[in-house]
Amino acid sequence: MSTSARRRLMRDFKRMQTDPPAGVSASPIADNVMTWYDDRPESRVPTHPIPFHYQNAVIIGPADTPFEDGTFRLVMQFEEAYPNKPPGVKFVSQMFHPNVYGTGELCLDILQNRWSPTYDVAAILTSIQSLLNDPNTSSPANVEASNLYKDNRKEYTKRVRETVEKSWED
Amino acid sequence: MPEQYEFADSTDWLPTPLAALAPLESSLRCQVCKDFFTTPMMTSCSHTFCSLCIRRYLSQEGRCPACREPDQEVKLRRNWVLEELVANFTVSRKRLLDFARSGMESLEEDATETQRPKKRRKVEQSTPNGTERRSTRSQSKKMPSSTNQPSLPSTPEVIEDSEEGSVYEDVESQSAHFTNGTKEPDDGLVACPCCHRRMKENLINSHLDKCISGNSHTPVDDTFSPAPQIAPPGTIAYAQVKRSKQNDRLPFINYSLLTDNALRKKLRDLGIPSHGSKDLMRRRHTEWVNLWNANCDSTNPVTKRQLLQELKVWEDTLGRQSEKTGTSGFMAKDFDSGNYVKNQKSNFDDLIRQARQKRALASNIPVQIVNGETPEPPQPENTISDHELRRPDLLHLQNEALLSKPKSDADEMTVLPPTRGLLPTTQMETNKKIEQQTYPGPTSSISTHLSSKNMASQSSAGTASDQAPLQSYMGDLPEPSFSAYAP
Repeated sequence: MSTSARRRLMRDFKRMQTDPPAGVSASPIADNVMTWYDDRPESRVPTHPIPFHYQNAVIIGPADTPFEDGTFRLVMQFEEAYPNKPPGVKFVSQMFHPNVYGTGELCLDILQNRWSPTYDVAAILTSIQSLLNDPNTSSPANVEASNLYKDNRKEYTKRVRETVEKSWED
Repeated sequence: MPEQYEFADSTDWLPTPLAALAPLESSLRCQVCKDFFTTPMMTSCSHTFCSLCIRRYLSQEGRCPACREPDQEVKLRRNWVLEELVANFTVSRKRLLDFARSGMESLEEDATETQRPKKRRKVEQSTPNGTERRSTRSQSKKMPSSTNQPSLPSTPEVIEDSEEGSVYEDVESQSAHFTNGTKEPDDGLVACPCCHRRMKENLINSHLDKCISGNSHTPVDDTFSPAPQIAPPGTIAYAQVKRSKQNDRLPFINYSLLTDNALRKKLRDLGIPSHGSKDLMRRRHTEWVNLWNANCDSTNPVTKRQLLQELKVWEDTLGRQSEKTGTSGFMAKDFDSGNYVKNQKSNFDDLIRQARQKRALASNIPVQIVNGETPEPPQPENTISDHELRRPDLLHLQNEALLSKPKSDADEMTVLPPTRGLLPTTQMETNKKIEQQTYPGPTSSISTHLSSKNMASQSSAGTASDQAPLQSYMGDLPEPSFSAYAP
């Protein structure tokens, strides 16, 4: 039993294994991939209709940025409409970034109105990785972070470093 | 770890001496499903996707997935040459890959180096009992070390799980009509992997369902129209095959003009399920039109019955899913991130190790890994507040990386992220192109040669146009900027 979403996700996953971009990684969450459907090949009906497919992901903060070497954890939630619909992506590590909400949700155009079905897991993660040091302060999700980024870079860096150190302890 | 399915992928070439084939294979794959093109169709903006992929996306968004230009499904055109390229490439893919891997093996023997490549080679083998086309890593590991496994007669026929997948996927073990060198009788039939009875390809799925459930005595019924015989690509017969008629295709309808009952009747007339709300009926009709029309495009169309089965799969997954699911699960407001991180600690630790490893590799610095553990985690008793002192091991690596190799992560970051995953290019290819632009290669020697023959004015134009294809291609891509979204 496979659907186009599931085949695509497996493909994305393989790509993340064989040729991952530097500093990011992702893998499906155990017990979820295979319980999505009954695994018997004759089965045409999902016996456990879990509507989502989940992945855990990690982004290492890029070098020469305040986020350097942070180990930021994320979760990704894919629906059956993937890749025609973007996945839900959120940080589960504590973040201090102008475009990340307190809940960890991201404010990133390619995950919303500029999504393209040509993106894959690797592309999403590298985009988020580059967003870390290249925030957009015109539409802040975290106003405090945005203001500090604009007006008090030293304090901003300090707050970011706190989240980096926190990420090592998780 | 969960069972991991194996898919052929362009990155299969990367660890072999034929790594240069990775970008070639990548361009033979649809950028939406990342599979080899199935019935490639070209948009008005000259981008190509699988028929079903592009039809589904156009019916949803009305734009090209690659460049976001508005487009309509009626403007789609077949891309025959690409279909032939895919068919011809996939015929030889397995043998090429085996060849490349055996080449690598002999290289390895010289270097007495054993690492990932061997693993990967095993992974590609299909399971001996072959009831499924996928093999698991754990299974592969259990198999006898296959250094010289004398070409196990690979399972003769493997069934695609889903007809919507590429007909060419895993073509090495499928598609008898394209393969000349297999031991399979070239009778256009395929064998059931369970009972080994041979039958027409379009019967195999329904037969397999019965066969596995122990009902294999069901006679292979012949009520279907026979599958059209396909001539090998590249032959005159192939080019002359009469493609399905244009007027077979179904039109989209303006759902807002139809009442519930009129739409219900429409679905009944089409012979598809007509239950559910108007929204469900609308989505079902759209999916049916996409499935149907993509099948009309196909060189090798399947029967309506098979299309109905695909619609059933859709019904059980997407159809059942309501439109507003975005705020549940992980994305729910009350999702407890902190607790989740604790529960998934071991998985995240693995991922951190992988991410670090790859980064170290990218900087050409060997990372020190003791027993496969994460490089020294920060000690809680370490009270030095300066973060730069907390991870001296990694800092050391990074400094070295920056000094020894100009193309460090930072450089890669600026070049790669916008293109990665969007272009059919790999990192390797991108780097290669960058290199081509930075130092004079053979092209420039040609142009100087030309310029010496009173073509001086064209020499600079020559090198510029060499770079032009890449740039114009990149110009077509979705906006490479990753600016934050303004809600």
